[in-house]
Amino acid sequence: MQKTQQRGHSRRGPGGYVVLEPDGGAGKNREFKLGYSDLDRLKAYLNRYAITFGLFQDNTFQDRLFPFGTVPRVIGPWEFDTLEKGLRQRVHALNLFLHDIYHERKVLRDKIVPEEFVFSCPAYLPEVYGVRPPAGVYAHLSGIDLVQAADGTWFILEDNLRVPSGASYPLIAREAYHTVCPGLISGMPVRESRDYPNMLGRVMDDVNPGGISVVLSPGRFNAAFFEHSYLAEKMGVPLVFGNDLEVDGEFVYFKDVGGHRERVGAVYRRLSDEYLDPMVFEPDSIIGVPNLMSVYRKGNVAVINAVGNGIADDKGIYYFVPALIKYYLGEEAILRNAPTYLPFFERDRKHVLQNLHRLVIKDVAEAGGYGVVFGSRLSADKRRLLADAIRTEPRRFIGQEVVEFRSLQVFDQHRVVRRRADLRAYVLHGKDISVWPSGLTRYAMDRGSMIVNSSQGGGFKDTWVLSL
Amino acid sequence: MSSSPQFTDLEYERSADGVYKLNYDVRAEMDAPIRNHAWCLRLSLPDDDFFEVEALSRYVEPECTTSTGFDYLGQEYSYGLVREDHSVFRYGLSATIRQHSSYGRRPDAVPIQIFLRSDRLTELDHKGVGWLDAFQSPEKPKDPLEWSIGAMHEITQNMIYLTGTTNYSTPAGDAVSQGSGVCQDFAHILIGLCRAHGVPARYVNGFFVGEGETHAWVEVFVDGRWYGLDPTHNRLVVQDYVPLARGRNAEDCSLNRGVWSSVVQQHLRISASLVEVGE
Amino acid sequence: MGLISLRTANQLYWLGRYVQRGLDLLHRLYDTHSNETAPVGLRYEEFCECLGIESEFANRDAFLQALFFEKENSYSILFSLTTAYENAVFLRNTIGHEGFAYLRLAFNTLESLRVVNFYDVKPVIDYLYAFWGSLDECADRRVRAMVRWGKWVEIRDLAGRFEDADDKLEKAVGQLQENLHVLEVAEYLNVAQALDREGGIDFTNELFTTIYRP
Repeated sequence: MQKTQQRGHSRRGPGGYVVLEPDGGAGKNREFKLGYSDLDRLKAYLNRYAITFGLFQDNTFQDRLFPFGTVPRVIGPWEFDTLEKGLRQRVHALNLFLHDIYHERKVLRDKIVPEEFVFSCPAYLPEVYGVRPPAGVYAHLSGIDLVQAADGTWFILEDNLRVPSGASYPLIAREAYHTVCPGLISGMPVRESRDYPNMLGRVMDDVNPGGISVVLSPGRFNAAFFEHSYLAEKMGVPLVFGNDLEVDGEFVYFKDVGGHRERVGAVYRRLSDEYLDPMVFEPDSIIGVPNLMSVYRKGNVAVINAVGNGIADDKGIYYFVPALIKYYLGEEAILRNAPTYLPFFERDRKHVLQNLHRLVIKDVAEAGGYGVVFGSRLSADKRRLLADAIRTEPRRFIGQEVVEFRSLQVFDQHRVVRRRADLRAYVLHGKDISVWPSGLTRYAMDRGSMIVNSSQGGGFKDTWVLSL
Repeated sequence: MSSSPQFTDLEYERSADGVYKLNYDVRAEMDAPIRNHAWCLRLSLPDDDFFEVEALSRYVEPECTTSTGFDYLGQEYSYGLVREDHSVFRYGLSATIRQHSSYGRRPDAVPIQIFLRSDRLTELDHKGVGWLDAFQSPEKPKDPLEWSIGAMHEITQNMIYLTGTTNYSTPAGDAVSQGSGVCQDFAHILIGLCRAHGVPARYVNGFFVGEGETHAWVEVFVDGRWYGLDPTHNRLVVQDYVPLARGRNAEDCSLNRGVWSSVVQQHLRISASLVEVGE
Repeated sequence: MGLISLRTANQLYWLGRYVQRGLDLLHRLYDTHSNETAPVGLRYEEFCECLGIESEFANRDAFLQALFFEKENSYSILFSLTTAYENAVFLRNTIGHEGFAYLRLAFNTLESLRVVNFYDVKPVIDYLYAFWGSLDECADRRVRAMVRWGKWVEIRDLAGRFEDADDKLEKAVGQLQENLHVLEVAEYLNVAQALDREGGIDFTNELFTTIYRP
């Protein structure tokens, strides 16, 4: 690996190029080069189509171009094979867990997960207790965040089973590579990723109890509005806002301007549970569909992802996922969690308090990179405050070993630098469970930073998976 | 079954069968016509070991398709859509109800622990309110029912019933700080106190004997059964109460939710009467 | 898919109007600018009068600058293209990813200009025509008809304001009718025109809301 890193810095200047670094040992005998001028073209391509990620700054909405790291991440075939197996296993178990805790609750009775971790969590929604979603699928689309340690080991960092976003960015970036440097991409055994809209569409068809499928967006000022409209176009389904739909009797309908209406069977919703139906959740929500939950409870519409999934991607539940895999599937977890401690357990709490200076502490209620604190960066006073907070509300925090994750090449102002990056893999669950052979690689903007979240200014890369 | 005997000497024992006539009518007047009005209403009375609904009629105007759904506690509700313009929305029900003398409702299928979870409306901040000092210790009481009844007495002693000082979304903490509120606030405070001490508690919307509007009270879960407490009247809920909706707080069992696209002022006129008619 | 919500219809209509307003005014401004004496051009005071806007400009350059770049002025080119682009953001999936890109290019190009030079403006016009062309490739005929409804209403509206020849007005109404026919609402046109003659409504501006009540 050291060797390839040095090779990466080949030549500087306008005629220079970047040598790709396939991970997992593939392509050792060949060099794959991406010219600097092509890197500029790739950026321009994304600008042409306004590939934005909205940000609220100083209370105003800014449609910013999503920083695009033009050097793709390349993952070798064996490497991805393991990831694929591990991710399918993980999502399978999480889906069974969701069914269980909204029905029999065997996992609690068998004391695999302490009750407190489920019932005290605001993401556990009694509103869907006993509701079986169409085809029994909860986690239709999961975004599982992984990091690779310097020694090559992959760790699961976080599960996202609510409304994981981001797949459209590598998807359109792939289109850019095919346009800008078709020779490079077709000369490498890169697995096709542009089938993603079909994969997602098939999942929707698999669970659709009758009617058309739609993408339900919270609106233009959502950070990922580009994604909503792009996926709708590529799937060939309408993009709707809440008041484009209506519930009448037992079904949900799309209201066509011509006066007729069409039954809706599957809603790929990009708004969170609390805004989905003002009759059941947040009463002031104007972006939801009134009485949608009534139709959902009757099984007459599939909501993608299912309502109430938040409990499965809770940072506290994360700790138990390896145990859940063992419990539901009788298998050892293929992919490892980052070493995690739960202050809820006395032994772990002691460990966390003693090692606060070298652990990363996460607030389980926060997302998007917020509420993540590196103990090493805190002043003694702040560390004491955090320790007090952990003592008073142990359930609210998890402590994790800091995984020194790998840096990837980023082309920045005509030179190659290295930035830490993670990988969001997309797992689709319809009749079968499959992993999209690509993923969103997110990298930190600043040197040494570990915060890769798009909402905090991080950039993205396409992820190339090699087939041999 | 094995409900502990120590509180049978309380009022709960005194209950007897009764027959009631209920009339509930709500008229919502809008200052401009609205359309595409989606609504969701609680118009179903419990029909179980405790209540027999003998004659029931209900209505929603203007006429529109009306459907039925069941919430997570198995409670029936109605929902529908009025497409055309209307300035008046009216609904209600009337029924004859036989109430049986029994207490201690069994738990529903949903995990009881969700009635321990604090929320925005029932959360209490103890600081600065003297009478709450007695409730500082979060320890679970030995006799939770007796303790809850004590807490109810305390609320009645320290809170003034005053309309107009709170609204539908006032959190219990705010009501406590100002020392006044209505039945909803009293209920939220009692729920907040109970939950903080490990006693599952829930909100009940419904009717109390007499003429007026709808009423709200509390149920606490003790020894595998739910018991009703009315912190507004400082009494146990035995007879003379007919529930319409139960939930975690007022918002969770609101009797009426509606959504339409224009901005209008709405004037609600609620009239409810529950009268004992004898055998 | 062929399904169009009321919201989308409304945005398609306004997209058509603003794209056309930008394009139409670009042509008219060029005529005015390049040919002050010939009958195709108007003096800029007259131009402002036709649009019903104030004409207190120091000179013709100031007038051009304002008509191009003044964002608050609803008859500036930049306003038209900003509004068209804002609508297009909502409509990316309906008008197609490629069509959207042409509008973005037109908008970006115009926004990057600082002074009016009609040669520099050419690419803006090119992109706008590319947009119209790309729309024709769009599979859904109702979508096309919705946008063109807006387009021909705008043409009709501006032709009226600038007192164009009658045949131009007639052509616009004819095209309008064709598109309303695709949408199966052509019968409203006669009703609206009759009302217009009686002074009841401005049929070009109120036709949409007459047919599709929100």
